[in-house]
Amino acid sequence: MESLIELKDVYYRYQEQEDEDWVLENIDLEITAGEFIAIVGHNGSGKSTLAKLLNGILLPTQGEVRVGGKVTTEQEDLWQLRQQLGIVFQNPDNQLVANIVEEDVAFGPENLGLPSAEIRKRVDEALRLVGMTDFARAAPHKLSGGQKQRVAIAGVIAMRPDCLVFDEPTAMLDPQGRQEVVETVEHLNRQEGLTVIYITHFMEEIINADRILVFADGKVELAATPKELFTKVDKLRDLALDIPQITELAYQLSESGLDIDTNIFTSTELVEELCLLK
Amino acid sequence: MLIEVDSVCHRYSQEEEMVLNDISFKIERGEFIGLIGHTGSGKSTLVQLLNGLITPTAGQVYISGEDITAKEINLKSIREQVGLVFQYPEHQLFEETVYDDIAFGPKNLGLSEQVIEERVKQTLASVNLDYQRFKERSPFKLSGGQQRRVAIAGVLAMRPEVLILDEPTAGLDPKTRNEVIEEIVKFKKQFNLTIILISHRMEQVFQLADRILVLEQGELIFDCTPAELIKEQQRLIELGLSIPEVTKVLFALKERGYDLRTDLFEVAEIKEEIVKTLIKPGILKS
Ligand SMILES: Nc1ncnc2c1ncn2[C@@H]1O[C@H](COP(=O)(O)OP(=O)(O)OP(=O)(O)O)[C@@H](O)[C@H]1O
Ligand SMILES: [Mg+2]
Repeated sequence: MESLIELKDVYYRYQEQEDEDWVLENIDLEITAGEFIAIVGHNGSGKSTLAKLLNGILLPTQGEVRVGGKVTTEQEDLWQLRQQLGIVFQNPDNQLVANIVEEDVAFGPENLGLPSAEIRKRVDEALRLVGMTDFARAAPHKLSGGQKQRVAIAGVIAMRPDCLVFDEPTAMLDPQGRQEVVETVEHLNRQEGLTVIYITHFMEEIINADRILVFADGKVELAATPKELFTKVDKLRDLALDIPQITELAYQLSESGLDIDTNIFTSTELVEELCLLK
Repeated sequence: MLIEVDSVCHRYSQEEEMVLNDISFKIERGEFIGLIGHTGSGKSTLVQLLNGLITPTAGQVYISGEDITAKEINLKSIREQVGLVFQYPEHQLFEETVYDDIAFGPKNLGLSEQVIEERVKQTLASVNLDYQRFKERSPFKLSGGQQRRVAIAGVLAMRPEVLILDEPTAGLDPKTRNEVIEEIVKFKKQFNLTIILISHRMEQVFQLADRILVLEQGELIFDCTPAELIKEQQRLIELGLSIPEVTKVLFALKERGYDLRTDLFEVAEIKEEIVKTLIKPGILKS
């Protein structure tokens, strides 16, 4: 299959000085349409920088970034490229601009100068896809964090992108809000076929990803499927990644001699395993 | 009594509804308080009342017996006592370099250059940032997690008596998250700090707190120990809050007829409890 996103030998540094360390170093990456890619890694490892390179907010110091065949350095293509690839950030309050939910979602399409019937259609569709139709006339500041984030996602979807990039969309949310956002993202990927690039520090959120890229010091330290990565508790520790407490508990129980699977992420799964012991 | 909140109500403007409704509670010196509630329940408003950033619409807030809602109060001295790490660290950073940002508070305390430098070094180390590498950097040109660490360091450097942390570990990588929490616990022991921690990570709150306050739509609906609160499992889930995932295992096993404790929150303790329970029926291999 043809790749939707392509990074070729990308290097990036913020300062011009030659002696500065690379923030991203030698990144080669191909992402196929429809994939769900998760990105994890320590603070300052370059995850957000990568996100900004993808839609041309930042341009590579060396190498090349392509989205749908277009290079991010081509000024004339940038406008279209940004419709194709939308970014959702951490803080929902900074992303919502209007006083009414549907106006907020309409903001992007209006800027495209689309006819109002088309805008209406896109707004309705976007709100439906994130499950926020009932809140179309609500005021964003009255919504919960999870709902605000879903509105922010709708705003991006209304541009009809092929790819959504999420930069820690759940960091500020309560457990329920996190769940809502994760379910929405998975739905958009599976049912709507959108390509997803999902940056997070929460491992539980990416157990259904196709590939996980582990960033460390500006490099891709490891690429693996969730199963490959999560079964290696020791490896996770080495990479200073999060081990969900429930996985840790399963691991410790098995160390104590209980014959159970340790590839476990929810309490329900662990209880099932424990009850199979006879 | 170190902190006393008495019948506090707050709304941001006349036309708006109350964000906090008739809140009363007390906190003793040295307590570790967890404050939970879903987004928009009023947590951030409540803690801003505690260091005088906001004056309540009605009711009183006392810090060490002093009514900080009184007009003539010296807010500067209150803010030296009560340090607040904001939910969004970018709201807290303002100086041109990381060094100046952390030194800002201690400078206002009138400390000597030498003491200030010591404190900056020490607090940067405690949030896992290399002094040489970061002291001259602009706080605005850091990654999200690095910014948060600088914000935490800035408040720690003031050595406040009360430390209020609004989601301090959101956006931190797991290693730093653990280190920051360890450091806070260490500071607490060393200086007999009083801590108020707002967090959406239930496992954090249940493990660390002596007492948990739960806010729901501006009302204080629980004020009790973690062990007492865990009994309200069903209610917490209805509120969208849940309980630690590992504790759920105990509840589920109990439901299936095993006789075991359900008021444990640490992985190691829970493991022991499960092993002990399953040994009896002879399920264990060895
Ligand atoms: N505007 C900027 N100017 C200079 N350096 C920057 C800027 N933004 C980030 N950096 C640096 O680039 C590196 C990578 O930062 P980036 O924001 O990509 O990390 P991240 O992986 O997203 O981290 P986090 O988990 O904390 O969000 C860090 O060392 C950071 O200090
Ligand atoms: Mg980032």
